Order: sequence, then structure tokens, then C-alpha cells
Amino acid sequence: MITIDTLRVREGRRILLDGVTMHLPGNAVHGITGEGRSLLLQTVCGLVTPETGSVSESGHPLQRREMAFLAADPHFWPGLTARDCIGLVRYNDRTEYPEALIRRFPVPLDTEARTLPSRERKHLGIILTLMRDKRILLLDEPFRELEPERLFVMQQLLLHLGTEGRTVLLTSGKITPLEGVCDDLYLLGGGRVLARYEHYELGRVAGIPDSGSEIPKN
Amino acid sequence: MTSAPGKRIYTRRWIRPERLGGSPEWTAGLRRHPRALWITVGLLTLCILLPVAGFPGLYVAAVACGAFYLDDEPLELLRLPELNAGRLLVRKVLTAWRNYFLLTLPFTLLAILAHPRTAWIAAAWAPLAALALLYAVVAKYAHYAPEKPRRQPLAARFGSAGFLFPVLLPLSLALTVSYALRAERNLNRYLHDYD
Repeated sequence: MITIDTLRVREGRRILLDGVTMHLPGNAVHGITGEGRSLLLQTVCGLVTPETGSVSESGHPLQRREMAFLAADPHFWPGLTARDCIGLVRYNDRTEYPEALIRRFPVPLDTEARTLPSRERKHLGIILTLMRDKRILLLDEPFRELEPERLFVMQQLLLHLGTEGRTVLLTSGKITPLEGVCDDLYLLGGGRVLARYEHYELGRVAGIPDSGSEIPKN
Repeated sequence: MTSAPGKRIYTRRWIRPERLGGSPEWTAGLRRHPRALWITVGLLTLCILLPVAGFPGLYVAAVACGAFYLDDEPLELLRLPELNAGRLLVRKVLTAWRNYFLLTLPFTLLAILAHPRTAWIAAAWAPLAALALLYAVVAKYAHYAPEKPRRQPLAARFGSAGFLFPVLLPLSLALTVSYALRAERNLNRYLHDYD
């Protein structure tokens, strides 16, 4: 069980997250939508330091070594090709085989990763994140930029990850792609958790025009 | 050092992180500056033909390789080996030495075979080249800040210059020790989870 406890994040005078509390069971896919979703994921990952509050698992601080993070718009170091980026991950963990992921999310391997179009950068980011055998996956907007057929593949992969013992936290500006994938969905707004929906409620929530099926992006 | 957007890099597959000890610095550095690489190879070949210039040329190449360590890599890349600060620093230094001495091995052998009488210079070249690379690595991580644009402090520039101008060498040696301690403290801010 991952516990996000009264998290408060401030930027100057603005309070971006205020008292966000979530109890996220392990081995499940949790969706987060609404304003501040990316910031919440970055805070869980340790990229942003909260003013107060904590992120813990079974009473212990969440370890970064257990997590892999996919940024909403992945950026890569200048001078490295997509093949180099994959090679670096493989060099550090020889047990990883990215071939299946490369087939599903095609990337021109001998091109500088930084100069790839945003869709292919997203593909490479997904490959690099999912090929690492991490227990907790933090995916910021994994469906953004994906074509419909890749979106379907991504949904199938997420379902598979949730059933094989990983805990997945993912954000999305739209609720529709989360239907049938997430075990629950948190709706953020005004820096707080506004609502929590169970998986069987997602279809109803996505169908209501004003419910946030097209929630504004951050 | 940051390549301009749209600038083409050398994408041939013989440059691979697996062959370069998993070093993103050397992989990106060799890809970003292919011309400089071939010019260095040409100059080193010329230097080796001259009796005393071979090992000094190789030493200058070691100082030039320090340029690979001028940019800060993204945090994800730093965390990839999943090592704590001390171990990561040791690995980075050993990888820098490995890559440099492996790439210069043919030139070293040629220099010794071509001019056996000046082979004793190698005894000075090897530790000085190793020291120059050690300085480049610890200076980088002493000031590592992944989200900010990199600015090399003036002292660090003088320290780098010390490896080319012997008057400043004592400063470089002092800075190497200072930066080594500071680098471990600085990296601990990002890698404390891997202890």
C-alpha cells in the first residue's frame, strides 16, 4: 500500500498541492486526472520536494530504486541516439530485452533521440521506462501523442503490468483511455483530491459531459 | 558543449555505450564531435612520427577528453546504474581511464616501437593523463545540478588550465582533492536512496 499523506507543494506564494492524501493499494493501476496531476507524480518520484507531507509504503519512505518514471514529454541528452539510450539501460541491466517493446512502439534507432518528433520521443520514453523491471511505475500522460492503435497496445500493456504484480500510477487529461485499465481514478482540482471513482464508475464518469472526460490540461 | 538543435551527429554503430564502458559522456562526446575525433587521430599520428612529441600529444588528448565531462546529464541517466555516490564516482573515473587508455593504446605502442629511447616519457604521461581525467570527472560532479544550465566556475577553469600550464598545477591538485570530497556530498543529494 502506497500512502500519500497530506502532501503540500508550494511554488513561491502559490500552493499547487494542498493536503493531497491517497491510499493506493499495490498490484493495481491507479489513474490520476485533473489539475496538478503531473506535479503530484513528480513529487511521488522525488523530482519535486514537498513543503509538508510524505509518500510512504508500509510505513517506510518510498525508495526511488523501486520506481521508474515516464515524463509527459520525454527529453534526452544531446548526442545520444535512440539505440544508445536503449544500450545504456541494457548495459546496466543485462536481463532486459527491449525487442518486443520496440516492435510495439517503433522508433528510428540510429537517429539522435533529442531530435526525434514528439511522438517517437514518447515511444522511446515508454520503451526505456517499461524495459526496466521496476515494481512501481509512474507514467505521466502515457496516452498523449499515441496513435489509436498504439493507445490500444498501451492499454493492454498496462492491464498486463497491473496483473503481474506492479503498481502503476498514471495520469491522463482524458478519462476515456483509462476505462477498463484503471482500478480506481482520482480527480484533482484546486490542489486537492476532489473525488475518487472505482473502476466500475469510470464509464459513467466519462459519459457525463461536465464530469471531466476532457479535463483541462495542466 | 551542447549541440545546437538540428545539428547532425555521427550515428554510426561502432560507437556504442556497451563498448565504452556504459559511459554516456564518451558516447555522446564521440558522436557530437566526429571531426575533432578524426583531427585528433591525424595529429596524434603526426606526433608519433616525431621523437619526443608522441607522449605529450597523448597527454594533451587526455586533457581534451575532459571536455566530454562539461555537460550535466539528466537525473534519470545519473540514476541508471543504481549506485551510491561514492561507487558511482569510482565507476565514472575508472570508465574514463579505461576508455582513454584503450583508445590511445595503438598510439602508445606505436610511440614505443618508433622511438624506444623516449619510451621513459610514458612513466610521466600515464599518471598525468589519469590525473587530468580524474579532475574532469570530480569537477563535473562537484557542481552537478541536473535542472540548471551548466556554468563552470572560474576556479574550475583555472584548475583545468593547470593541466596545460605547469605554474597552475598545484592549484589543480588542490582542487582535485577538494572537488572529490564535494562531488560525493553533492551526488548524495540525488543518490541517497541507493545507499
